[in-house]
Amino acid sequence: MASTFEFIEKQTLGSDAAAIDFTSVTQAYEHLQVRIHGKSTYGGLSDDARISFNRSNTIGTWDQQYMYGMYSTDGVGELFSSYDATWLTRLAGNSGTSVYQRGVIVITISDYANTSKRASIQWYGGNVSGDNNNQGKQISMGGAAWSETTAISEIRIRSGSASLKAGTSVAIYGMKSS
Amino acid sequence: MAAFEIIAHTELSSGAAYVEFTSIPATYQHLYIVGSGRSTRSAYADGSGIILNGHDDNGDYHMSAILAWGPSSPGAYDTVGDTQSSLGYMMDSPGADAESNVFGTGHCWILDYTATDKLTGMIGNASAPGYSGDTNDYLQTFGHGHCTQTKTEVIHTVRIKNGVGNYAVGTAFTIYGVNSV
Repeated sequence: MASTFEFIEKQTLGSDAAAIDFTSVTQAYEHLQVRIHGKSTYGGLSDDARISFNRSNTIGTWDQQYMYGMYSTDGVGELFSSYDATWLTRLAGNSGTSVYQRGVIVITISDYANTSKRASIQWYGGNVSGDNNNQGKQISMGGAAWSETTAISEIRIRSGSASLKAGTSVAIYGMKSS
Repeated sequence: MAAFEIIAHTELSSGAAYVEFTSIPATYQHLYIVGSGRSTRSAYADGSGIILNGHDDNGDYHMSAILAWGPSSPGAYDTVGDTQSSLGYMMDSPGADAESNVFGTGHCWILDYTATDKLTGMIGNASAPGYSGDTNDYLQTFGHGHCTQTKTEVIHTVRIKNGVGNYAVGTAFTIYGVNSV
């Protein structure tokens, strides 16, 4: 049987950058998995990561549902379209926490090349440091729908309130179905 | 040897009550299912589950899931226990009342599926959000669940069964075998 879970591309920042962009994403797979290992330049303990598609074309709108645990509290939430991107689990910040601290996130994008479906994603992740407060310990998982039926050819990962810190890496894998 | 290998893929060209994978080879360590689904049910959402080797009697599965429904307060964050289940929770899918072309994303691991000295364990999560900002709770669902089948059989058949309606055209699932050596 054929190999079906394949590495597509990885980017690791050599210096701080506003975003990591994957352009010309191959349409050769059924599903994509995106793995983020990242830190923000944000001057605090953590900052949310965000994902968006096809930034050079229509950027569409998003609706997302998520649940989270932050230190000793938990909850659910919904965000609708205002940010033209989906909020993900938090990345490590650049102040008040270890310089080696990183947030990790795994995202599944199903049937991403299908133009009869609005893109649908699901993710889980965490940034749990030794800092005992809501910004220092956070895990979350959720899902989101993108308003567009356009095939996903570009993926952007960024930090919500600042830039991505040097050393942040994002890898994309493809999963075949035949 | 590749870590992940395709076992089968099904995309529906007409509505169907379930998607089933049969004659699953017993040559892998784990099974992994990824898919996108939509239901024909006249509602915002519909549930679905997994049936292994045709076992669908009450008590064949133990499951627990945490579910988020809607933009509600943390009170909507709930734990659901069902010790008499006839199937394992798989995912919620958008129903016919959800916006067109919206499909949910779900994935599920079936671990150590050939072991005959273990109850079969499954873990997965799924999302089925609409995109309109509609505050109806059932239009905004996310779940994470674990399920144990109360059998020690080698798993050879996996049925992903929709709830009230059929799976809609375009619903697609892929099952992978995951090697450990």
